[in-house]
Amino acid sequence: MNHLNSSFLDRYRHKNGTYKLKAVVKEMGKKDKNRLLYYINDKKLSFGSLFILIPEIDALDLYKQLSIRNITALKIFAKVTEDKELEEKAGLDTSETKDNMYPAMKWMIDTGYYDDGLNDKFDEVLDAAASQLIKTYQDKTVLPAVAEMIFKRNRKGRFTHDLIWAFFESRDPYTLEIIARYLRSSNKKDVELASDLLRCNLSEEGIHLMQPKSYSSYHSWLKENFSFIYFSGESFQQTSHPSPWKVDLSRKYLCQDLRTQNKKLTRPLAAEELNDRLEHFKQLKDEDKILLSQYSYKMHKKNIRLWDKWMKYPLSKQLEMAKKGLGGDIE
Amino acid sequence: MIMVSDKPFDTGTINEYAERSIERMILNKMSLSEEQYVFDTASQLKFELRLRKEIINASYQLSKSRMSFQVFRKSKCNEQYWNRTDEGGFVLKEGVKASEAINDIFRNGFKYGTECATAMIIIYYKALLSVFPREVFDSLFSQIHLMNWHYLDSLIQEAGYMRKPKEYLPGDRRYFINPDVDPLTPYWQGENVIDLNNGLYYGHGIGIHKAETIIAVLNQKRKEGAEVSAYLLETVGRPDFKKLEAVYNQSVR
Repeated sequence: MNHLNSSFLDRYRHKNGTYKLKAVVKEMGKKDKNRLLYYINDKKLSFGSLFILIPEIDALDLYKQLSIRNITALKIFAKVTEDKELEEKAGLDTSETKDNMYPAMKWMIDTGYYDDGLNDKFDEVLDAAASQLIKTYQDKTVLPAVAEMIFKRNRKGRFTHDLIWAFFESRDPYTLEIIARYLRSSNKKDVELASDLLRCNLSEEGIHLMQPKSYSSYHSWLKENFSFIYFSGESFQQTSHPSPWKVDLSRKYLCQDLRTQNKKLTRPLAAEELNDRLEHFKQLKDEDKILLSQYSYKMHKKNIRLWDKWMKYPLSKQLEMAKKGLGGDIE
Repeated sequence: MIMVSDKPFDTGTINEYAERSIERMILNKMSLSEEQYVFDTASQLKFELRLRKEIINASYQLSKSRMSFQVFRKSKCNEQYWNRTDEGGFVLKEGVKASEAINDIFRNGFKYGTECATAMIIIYYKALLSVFPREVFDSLFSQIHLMNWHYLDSLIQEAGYMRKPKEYLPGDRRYFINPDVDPLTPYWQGENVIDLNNGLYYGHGIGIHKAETIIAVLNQKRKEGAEVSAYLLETVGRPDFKKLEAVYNQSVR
């Protein structure tokens, strides 16, 4: 956290610790409540500090004088942790705060992720806010912060299950780029987790796996497959080795971009002939599909004229040529 | 079709299973299937039938155990046998016998609360405990970590992979996915279930029901304005029955 841009209460906490912050707030509440409210309602205050000060806010009964952002954050906290007493004390009806939910949640993540790990309830609220922002509000800007929380927790063996799920629920391949950065981490646990999360099942049977070995090799792989990957919805609740993103080998074989969640083509199939070809391709063994799709992609990239010619060959001939090697004779 | 020792296998030669037994139903399904079920020996086939039956039995037992549904953050266990991890999983306590710890879940279910994935793993252990002699089970599984599919013992790790089979068999693990789940209740993102045969599935937190009921329950847990219904995936999770049979043969010799 950039302490130069932080609020007075955050600076005080980071310099003197939580215990002294609570003591000074208690004291200020007795002597100068307005000044204390000015500090608590400061736009630069972090969610972590607000969370820490809930008992003091309660003791001084400051709920009605809190800013909309703060009171909404407390409402969200109360709802997620099922704290009925706090929900009642916070006072506002849910409908009155609904429009303020998004900015409050965004603030909770943007400023709260630094304090991730304060305690279990705090983390639970961050998980819920992240999940809502990503899935309901489709906010992609929080993804780097959410990734940071995932890896930070993983280093300490803390709960990552829901956060990993929420992260990939953005259904945006950008998530892969964010995770790939952790392949370059000097921390072994970061690299292991990144490698796990980026692993990709290339076949329906799950026996052809792409396991990233390094950032550069993964980067090359992603560059090659970016146009053909789609969101699968797999998570650790479902399988040991989820592949949240999978490669559509048929589309790669036909070199057709696939950039939507529901496997719709961004451009239509050119001809009936290609449809037939696709049907035959789907009957192939997985290893042959992988080989042909790679061969097709590379040739398309290298020489589209030759690729057009190659696509007219029957599948058996294409396969024979591909088996000779990716750089084989294509004339 | 069933092949044993490279020869088509006549299921009629196995007389030990009653006409309406689960083993007989599995045998019939396998023999009528387009898929070839290949076994090295008849005992390998019998082991799979037995373990599948025990997986189903364990599912029924767990459904009656009073173990509650709790999210990982609020999971609970009997700390006489298990240590609860920071992630909400349960790790077998040092010096505790795995058989006693697993049986305790079924005996004192009210002391336990967890999510559906953990329940599936508990079922596998209970089924194995019914098949393996107790001492063998204790020595094979001296370190158990119950949580999601991320922490599986190498002997049952294959149950964590999902693959598309040609045939669904009783005792398979299936998964109902709920793509439009309410983000505030991510634990309803899907339901792990055991196929109990006759169109019935057991999923922890929902119970024993037909697919339509499980889908209806999951659909109630979707976000506002949801458009996509929950549905049953085509994939299954299966332990490596042959590997387990080899371990069984080695250990009971």
